[in-house]
Amino acid sequence: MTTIRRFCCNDLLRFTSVNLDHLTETFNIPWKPNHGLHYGKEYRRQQLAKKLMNLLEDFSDKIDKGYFVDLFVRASNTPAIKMYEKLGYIIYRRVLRYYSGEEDGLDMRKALSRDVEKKSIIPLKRPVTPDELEYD
Amino acid sequence: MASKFGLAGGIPERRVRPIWDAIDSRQFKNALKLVTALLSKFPNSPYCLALKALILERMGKSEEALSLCLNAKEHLHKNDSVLMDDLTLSTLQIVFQRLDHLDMATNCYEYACGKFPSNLELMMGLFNCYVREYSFVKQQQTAIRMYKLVGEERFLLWAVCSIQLQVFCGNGGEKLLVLAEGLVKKHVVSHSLHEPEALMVYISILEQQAKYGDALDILSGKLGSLLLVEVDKLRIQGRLLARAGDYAAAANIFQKILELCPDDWECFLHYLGCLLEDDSNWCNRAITNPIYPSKFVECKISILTDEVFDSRMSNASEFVQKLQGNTGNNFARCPYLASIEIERRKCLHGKGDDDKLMEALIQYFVGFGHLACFTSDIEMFLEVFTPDKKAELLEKFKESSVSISAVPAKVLGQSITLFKIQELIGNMSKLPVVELEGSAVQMVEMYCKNLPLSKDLDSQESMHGEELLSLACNAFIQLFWRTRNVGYFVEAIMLLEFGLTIRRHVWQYKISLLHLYSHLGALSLAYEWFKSLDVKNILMETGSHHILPQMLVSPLWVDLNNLLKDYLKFMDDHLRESADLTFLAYRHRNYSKVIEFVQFKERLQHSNQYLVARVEGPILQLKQNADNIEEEEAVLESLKCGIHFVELSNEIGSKSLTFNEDLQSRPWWAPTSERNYLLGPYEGVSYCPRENSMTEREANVRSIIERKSLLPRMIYLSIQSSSTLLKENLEVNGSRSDPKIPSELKVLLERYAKMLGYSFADAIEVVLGVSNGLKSFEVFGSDLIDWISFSVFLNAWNLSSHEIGLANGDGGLSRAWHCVDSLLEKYVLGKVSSMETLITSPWVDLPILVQLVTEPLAWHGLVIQSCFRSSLPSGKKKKKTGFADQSCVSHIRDSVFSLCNTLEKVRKWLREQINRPEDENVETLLSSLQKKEHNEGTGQVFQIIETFTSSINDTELGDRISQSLKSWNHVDVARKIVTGKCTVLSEFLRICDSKSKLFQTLKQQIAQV
Repeated sequence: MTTIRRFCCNDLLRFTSVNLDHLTETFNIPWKPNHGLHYGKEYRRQQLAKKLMNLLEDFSDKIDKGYFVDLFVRASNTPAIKMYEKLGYIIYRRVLRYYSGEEDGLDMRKALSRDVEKKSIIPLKRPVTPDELEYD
Repeated sequence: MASKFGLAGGIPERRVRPIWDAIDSRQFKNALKLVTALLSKFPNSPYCLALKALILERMGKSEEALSLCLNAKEHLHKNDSVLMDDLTLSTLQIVFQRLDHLDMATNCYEYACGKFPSNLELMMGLFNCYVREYSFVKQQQTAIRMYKLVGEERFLLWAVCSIQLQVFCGNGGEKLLVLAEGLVKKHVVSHSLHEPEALMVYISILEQQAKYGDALDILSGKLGSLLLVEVDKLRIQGRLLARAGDYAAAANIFQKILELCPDDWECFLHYLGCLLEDDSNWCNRAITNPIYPSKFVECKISILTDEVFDSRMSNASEFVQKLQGNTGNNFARCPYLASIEIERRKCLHGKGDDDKLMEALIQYFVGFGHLACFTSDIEMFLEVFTPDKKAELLEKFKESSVSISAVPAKVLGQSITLFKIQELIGNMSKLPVVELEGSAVQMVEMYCKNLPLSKDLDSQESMHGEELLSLACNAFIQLFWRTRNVGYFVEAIMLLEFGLTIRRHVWQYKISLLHLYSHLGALSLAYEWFKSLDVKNILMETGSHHILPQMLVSPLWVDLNNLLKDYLKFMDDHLRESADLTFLAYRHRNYSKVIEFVQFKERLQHSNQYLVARVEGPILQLKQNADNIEEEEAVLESLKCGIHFVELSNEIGSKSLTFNEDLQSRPWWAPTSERNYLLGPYEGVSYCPRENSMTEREANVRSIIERKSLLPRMIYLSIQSSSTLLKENLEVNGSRSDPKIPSELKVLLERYAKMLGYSFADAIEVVLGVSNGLKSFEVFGSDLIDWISFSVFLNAWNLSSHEIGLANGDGGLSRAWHCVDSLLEKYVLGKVSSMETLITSPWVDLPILVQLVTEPLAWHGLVIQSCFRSSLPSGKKKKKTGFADQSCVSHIRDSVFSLCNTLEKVRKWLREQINRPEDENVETLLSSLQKKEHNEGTGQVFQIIETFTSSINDTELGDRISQSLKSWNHVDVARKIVTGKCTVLSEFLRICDSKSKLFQTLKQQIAQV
């Protein structure tokens, strides 16, 4: 059964099967104004990821009026990187040791309609460290 | 404030910046040097003092840090001319918080706000302090003050959230909500609202007071435009209408949502609920909040007349069909599931038609039968069928699967679904052994045959057909349960290890293996697989149950210690830091999260597992140090002699507990940590369904905590009690020991007896009866360890009290000593002689032996050590006249001899197992897999794997899969199992050796008396 809704704290407790997947980053509390994209193995190959990403882009474009959508993915997670590329994302920069101080993360971006000249997605030439990332 | 003018806490920023840079780059020594230099210039600056305290705290010098903070606080209070800015106070706050003195930080802010009542920044700091202390009322008062000061919407909402917290998490009555409503209403009139979250809070306050009409008015008014996402607004509207009982309007709204989001299952259930005027969806929502909502939709039998019911259902059908037409080939399952649900509701209403329901299910199978979620999707609908109908449905699925698809991955998906349905409806347990074997063979053949489909997948992606090995493993475990033929068990292990050789990331295999190895007694291997799951953060709370219960009764103390330490660190860190998140939510105006975070923190705080770990951690320390009484006493001292644990034991009955473990990921044969079907006889299908017996679990956890948390105190009192024995004999006219000790120990013994289900006097009779052979060990039931511990503490108590019927002069004393020795000796001898010696046997009694040696025997060892030590009043020098009472000496001597003897028996058994040649063990394991007959018995699947890996087709399978297949070696796995089992035994032997050494030393000492 599928229902798309906001994530809440108690979901962390029923999220085990997704968290156990080795590619999922086990976050502690779903805070920070960002979103994660995780779904259980049982529900793969149904284009659910595509639907969720479209939703996110739509909100960011029309409601938040952002310039771009960006996401972080483990550098070793080739399947996800390929999927995001298919959805129009490009690798904007590499963040060194982003995941638990061990693995690099890739910052992938897709420009939204407001960024007419697509300036937000010109790839950086050098990798950055996590403390160079700008949070609000 | 000050820093904006280039001043930090009154000090030029250029002088402070290098210090912060050094702190940020963790160069604390350098930071300390810089701050000390700065302090010499500004010796009375609270900011400099706070900064130095912060650095010292980071360097681990907590006491110095605290004293500096107190010094800074004093300067703030005393000196009116001192600059009192937020930077100084927040720096102090950080240090006080890390030193667990939140109250002092609050105190500083309270003082500062009193002095500068119109300083908003300081007041926000004070609000933050109250958030950290969970003082909801003070939060509210502070927020109101800020609101009055600047009139900003956010401060009003901070106050309103604080009020809601009082109602949901504090002692505040619901009447407070009227106040909150009034506050918002007034603000709306004068300023309106500007944030969507503010509107959501407003609506929630009204909803909580059941003022649905008012909430709806607001939503449809001007403020409603704050919600920019149409469906979000519709969802709230639908919910409010339904809760107000306006089902027709609500159904319309849900229909609109479904048109926009046709795959929203929850929305469809709301829609149907409203059509049938059933409020099950809307009541009790806030009260019950299980981790896993029931798979079965809550619904009532409709109160509608048949005519109305029929017409509404036909409307629903029509609408759902329209949705099906609209979605086309869009993977939306909901409209098809909806058709099934409609038919199921009709059945529940007594107007159903099994054939129609079956038809809807087949239609769903045709569209989605290849998906991995198919079986769990339809599970709840099958409940309305009789077993015969279920079997008929399975046949129909099989028939319709033949012609559906030509895409190999889809064909495979459907075949897996058919196996899963067979398992779900209990068909597997009805199959004769030979056919069940045949099924497992088919599954594994199918897995191997379809490996080429995954040729081009990335090594991290799940492969096609992975579930087949899990299904085959389930079948094997059932075969093992039925036949007790351990070959099936070993075959299941081999199969999963094989699967992990091909792709090492399949967590389902790892969890199954973890449980299989645990059952087989190879706990070190189970722990290895657990570690490979990379359980961290919240997974520690939801996933530790897979390994923790077994580890608690194992000799793998180092691993157990790590497990407990990591888990407690995660929980304690979260409980400490969760208030920071709450404040962040306030600051980001994400008000709904404020309440959620506080509730979630409470949920974790009441976790049953957390309480168990908090008791088991110290008990592990006591076990680890029991061979040295001085070290044990140091541990006891750090535990405040166990007083707090007694309090916990007293309170546990009235404490609310939460159960956050995810039990769904457990294998069917061990659905909870308390249950393992494989330990009992095969009981067929009735035992297979996954159960979640919460009441049983809750009672079990309470009783474990209640008993275990008495242990530290009882150990402490026993040591004290026995140390008086020889002293009293020695110093006849000397001062007697504290009389409170035996009386307190007696109270605890009485409680302990009660927990075991007996009065104190009866419990004594029971232990004496078993020790002298009049009763059998069976009367102890599953509480054996507790009973023997009881006899140990009883003896210790009797040493100083000489009170009970045991103490008929020396006769009583000797009976108490003898009782302990005899219980330990008899039980161990019985177990050691009856335990199987084959490497393939699970040695299910081993954990009991481990517990016996590491708990009651260890506690008894402490009693003896205490007696001994009391005979040496000063220093380590043995005082020859110490043993005045020769009868006491003889009891101790007998006991030491008996313990040496008992331990020797265990060590001998352990050495025999450990020293068995490895190759012989490997041979035994593998021989269980040898095929005895053609197409029957164990070893068939094992053969398939061996044949498959001996003729690998590189081009068909691709490089990666071929390479991994080539690395498969079943002998390695067998050897790993043997080593794993021996590791556990060796650790146990090490513990026994250490105890044996202690008692041998005592034996020699006593021989010199």
